[in-house]
Amino acid sequence: MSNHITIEELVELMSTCAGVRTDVGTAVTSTFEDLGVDSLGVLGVVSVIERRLGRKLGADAEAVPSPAALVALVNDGAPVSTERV
Amino acid sequence: MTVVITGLGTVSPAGVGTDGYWDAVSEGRSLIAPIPDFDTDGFHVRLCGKVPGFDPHQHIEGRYVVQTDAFSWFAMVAADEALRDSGLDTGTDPYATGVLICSCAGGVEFGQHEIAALWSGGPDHVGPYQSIAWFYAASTGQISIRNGLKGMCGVLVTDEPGMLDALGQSEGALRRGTSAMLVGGSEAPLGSPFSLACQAGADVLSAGDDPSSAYLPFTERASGYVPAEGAAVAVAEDAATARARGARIRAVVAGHASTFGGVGAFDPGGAGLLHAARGAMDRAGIGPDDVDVVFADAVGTPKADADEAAMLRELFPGGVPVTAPKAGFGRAYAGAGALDVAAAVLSLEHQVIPPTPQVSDAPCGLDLVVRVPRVAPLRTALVLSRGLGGGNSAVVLRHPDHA
Repeated sequence: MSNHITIEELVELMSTCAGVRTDVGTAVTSTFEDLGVDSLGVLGVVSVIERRLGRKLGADAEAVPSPAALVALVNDGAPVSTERV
Repeated sequence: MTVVITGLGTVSPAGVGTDGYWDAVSEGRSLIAPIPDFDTDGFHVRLCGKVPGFDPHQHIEGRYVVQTDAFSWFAMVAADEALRDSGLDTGTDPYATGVLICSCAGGVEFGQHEIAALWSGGPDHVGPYQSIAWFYAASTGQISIRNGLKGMCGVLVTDEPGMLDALGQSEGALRRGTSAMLVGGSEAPLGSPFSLACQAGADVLSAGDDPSSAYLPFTERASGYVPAEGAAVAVAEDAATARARGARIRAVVAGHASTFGGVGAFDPGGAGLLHAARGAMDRAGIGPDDVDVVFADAVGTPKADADEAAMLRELFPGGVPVTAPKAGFGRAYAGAGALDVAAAVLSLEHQVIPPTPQVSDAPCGLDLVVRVPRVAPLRTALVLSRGLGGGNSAVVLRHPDHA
């Protein structure tokens, strides 16, 4: 099982979990709020990622502001930035 | 204050849109068909009135589709049509427009999917939108969010009379400063075995498997009703506000009243419905001779039909034309009263009483309009509705030229 996610996978998850279609270029430069993914949508995305990885991302994962920050958290364990990208 | 209807939208077994709904209703078309989405083995109900070929993605943005049940899809789409129809400007002052959409069961189909995920996968397989999608207020909330409507918002959790009560309550909201109310009822009770099981216990559903005879209210062959899905939404405003903005007034809500019997049956004896009808007529300032057509509740069980027929004979000793368009597509719970109100408004506009589909003879001593639509001068319609939980409501609608 992969221990990482790609931005492409996250774009797909935003579509299936939150009903928001976007592209990689937009996703890496936007916040979830910009994209129209609400807090429950982020919760759903995080939940699916946790199931795929077989590990919990921690309570902070649901507070990440953007797709780029979520990818960084999953892949690098990067501390969550609350600043908007 | 005079409450008027300035916009209408419907999603019904005739499809999306009010024009198609009126075409089907006025022709007395039968829209009853087998329940299509799952195996009905083990259920004693086989037939339904389903919204045909409904794809939410044709009408609603994806992010709203994934977080809502079909009952909210229908409500959102009906609200879109009602808003367009009304010509209302909701953008200038978001606090001017409120929403009140009735629901009987909430998002049961969505809930079944998530319960299946819980049992097959565990708690972490349940999606977060379960927390909001099933809820009775979901349709009101999503219409408010999607259209930026921040006036008085609420939900009535009711069986079929909901829309009639929402029209009654809209007067209070308009008096308290909201300029326009989106009121309606919506139900999607056909999409999953769980939702059907919730209805099956009451023993009022038809077990028939012939669409032409399964739901025959007021006849000797009445054996229950066929469940249906759908929604209707109306824009309600004060007449003065509507006239000031040049809106087309489609009907006047002249009077409303409701009673509550508090029993798990459709108003045994009919006294509650009679009291509600008299109350609505009193508030409208009209007598029996002023009513040109009654849109009956028409449950389709012998007892409930006999009670309603007796109540109508008592209220209208001189007789009155009665119709039940829902016999063509079934009873859509909180959507049923709403679709009846829409049919009554359209009937007044077209000066045509739609027939009671499938029923060939006028029984029970009623002047039931059957077989073909009846052209008649129509100034005033009385809409009646009962709920299984004991609620009874009546609303008087008048043609704007005769109010």
